[in-house]
Amino acid sequence: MAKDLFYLFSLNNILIMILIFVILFVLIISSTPLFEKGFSKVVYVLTSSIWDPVYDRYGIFFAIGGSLVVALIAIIIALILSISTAVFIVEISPSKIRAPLEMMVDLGVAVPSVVYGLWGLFILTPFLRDHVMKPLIDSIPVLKNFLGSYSPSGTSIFTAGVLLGIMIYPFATSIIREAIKLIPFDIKEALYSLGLTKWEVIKNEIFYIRNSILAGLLLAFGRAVGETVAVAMVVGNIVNPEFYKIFTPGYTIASLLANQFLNATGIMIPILYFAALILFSIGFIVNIIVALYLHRSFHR
Amino acid sequence: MKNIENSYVLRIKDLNVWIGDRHVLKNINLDIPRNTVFTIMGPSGSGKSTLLRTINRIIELYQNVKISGEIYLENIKINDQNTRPENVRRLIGMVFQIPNPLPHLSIYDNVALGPKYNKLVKSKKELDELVKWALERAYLWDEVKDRLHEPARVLSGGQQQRLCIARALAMKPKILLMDEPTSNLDPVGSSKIEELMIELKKIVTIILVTHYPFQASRVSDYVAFIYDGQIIETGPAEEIFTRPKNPLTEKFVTGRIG
Ligand SMILES: Nc1ncnc2c1ncn2[C@@H]1O[C@H](COP(=O)(O)OP(=O)(O)OP(=O)(O)O)[C@@H](O)[C@H]1O
Ligand SMILES: [Mg+2]
Repeated sequence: MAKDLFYLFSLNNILIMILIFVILFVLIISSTPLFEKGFSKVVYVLTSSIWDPVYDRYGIFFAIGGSLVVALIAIIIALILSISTAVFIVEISPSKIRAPLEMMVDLGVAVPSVVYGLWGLFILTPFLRDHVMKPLIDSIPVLKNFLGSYSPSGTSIFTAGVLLGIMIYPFATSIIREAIKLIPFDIKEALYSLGLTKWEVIKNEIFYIRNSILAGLLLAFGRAVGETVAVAMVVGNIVNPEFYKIFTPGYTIASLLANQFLNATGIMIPILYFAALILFSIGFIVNIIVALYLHRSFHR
Repeated sequence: MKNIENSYVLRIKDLNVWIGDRHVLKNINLDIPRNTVFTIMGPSGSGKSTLLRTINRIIELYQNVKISGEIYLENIKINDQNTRPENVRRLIGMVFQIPNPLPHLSIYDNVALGPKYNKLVKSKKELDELVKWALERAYLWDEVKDRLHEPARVLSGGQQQRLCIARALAMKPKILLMDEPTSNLDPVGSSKIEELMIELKKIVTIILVTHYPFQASRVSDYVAFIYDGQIIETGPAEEIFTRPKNPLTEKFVTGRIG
């Protein structure tokens, strides 16, 4: 317990906590004009998907939903890609090509968002339109009711999620890869000695490192939910109350901020600050939940 | 002749193992009689662990290993390309020097994992019974029956090692390889496992590795003395300990090398 307190109040954490409070403070102060309009107005902003500058009515529910759906798709994509890449690199690839492969994946972390965005817009977007969305909707028309119909350009919530998944994948891969490498050899021996095949052993290893995978996902989520530039380029930027229809274009909180902030006037400004506050809080809450879970499972 | 063949559960013929360019095992020939404790003893670095790992083909997880020679389990050759290593490991269980229960799994799941993956049981009830049976055989049931679903890492070192024995037994193996199973345990934990071995040989043949001659003399039916990768002498335990033929063996059993 004393040790936990010590950890909690280490210098690094104090600095981070101060930073978090400063950001929260600034966002809350800047959103005050909205709060002054009363509780019901705040609830309206949170739950409505009407974005109407003519009548000065702004709800951001569509953007909150868009952000969450995009982040969710991104995490699923990143999870599938990173686990399979990490397993391939550590357990399957011949040792000669292992180092070059690791380097290639690691380089992906250093690529700037705008480059991902351009690649996403010119290559990934048409690709997903022609080879995923179109064939899916054409062969099973009823899916249209759940996924929506794709736009001619191919920009969509789905596209943004996939792109984001690809963007956070190198980082997630390196975390999972290091976790697999850290699995003690005697655990592997124990699994093999029980007559498990290589794939069965790998399955158990993934389960063994599930907490590291979760930690990697948490960090990935932090980046995913706030990522702006690349997402704004492929998400479509259309107010879309049915953001769960992932093949249709939509907005995320971050892309809403990026697109609207420069022409914002009047009450729209505090509402955008409030949207930023929501975005910040989502990341913050997810971090805390996962940190608590990890704390519990490591100390059990 | 036929009878003699059948009384051996495992036969090793002209086995050589190289790790990198080190010749670790040299011309090993051993016949292991069924339902006995067969002890391989020898000083550190003599190749005991390598021999066990070669028998259940765990050695194939290592890099740069070269093997020649033949190993027969009940007259079936098990060390060739046609036999899948996992099939060998199903029949030849292993207990390691450092207890290695799977720390993220419960006590129950540690024992159940092998039977589940190898489809040894058809129902949850059968699995429950098998887990209970294995834990009883490993003298652990009474100590854990009320906390089967707690993580295995809460057990003491000795209990963890008995859990590893139960885990291996649950596969109903024909042979149990035990690589210095007591070297990390206190005297109480050690003697429990020694008692256990004598009981277990009724249901499984035990190949024990140790570098303690005294442990070997307490539990063994047969002993092979290995030195620098070679079998120096092998025979019934009593003979090896009372009338060793080779001076090296004598030095080892009297504690002058090792
Ligand atoms: N993975 C490996 N890579 C290289 N050399 C190895 C490896 N495993 C074993 N050896 C070598 O093979 C020889 C025999 O090792 P082994 O572990 O079989 O000995 P041991 O009799 O079990 O010793 P101990 O009583 O210390 O456990 C040693 O010289 C060791 O250095
Ligand atoms: Mg050894």
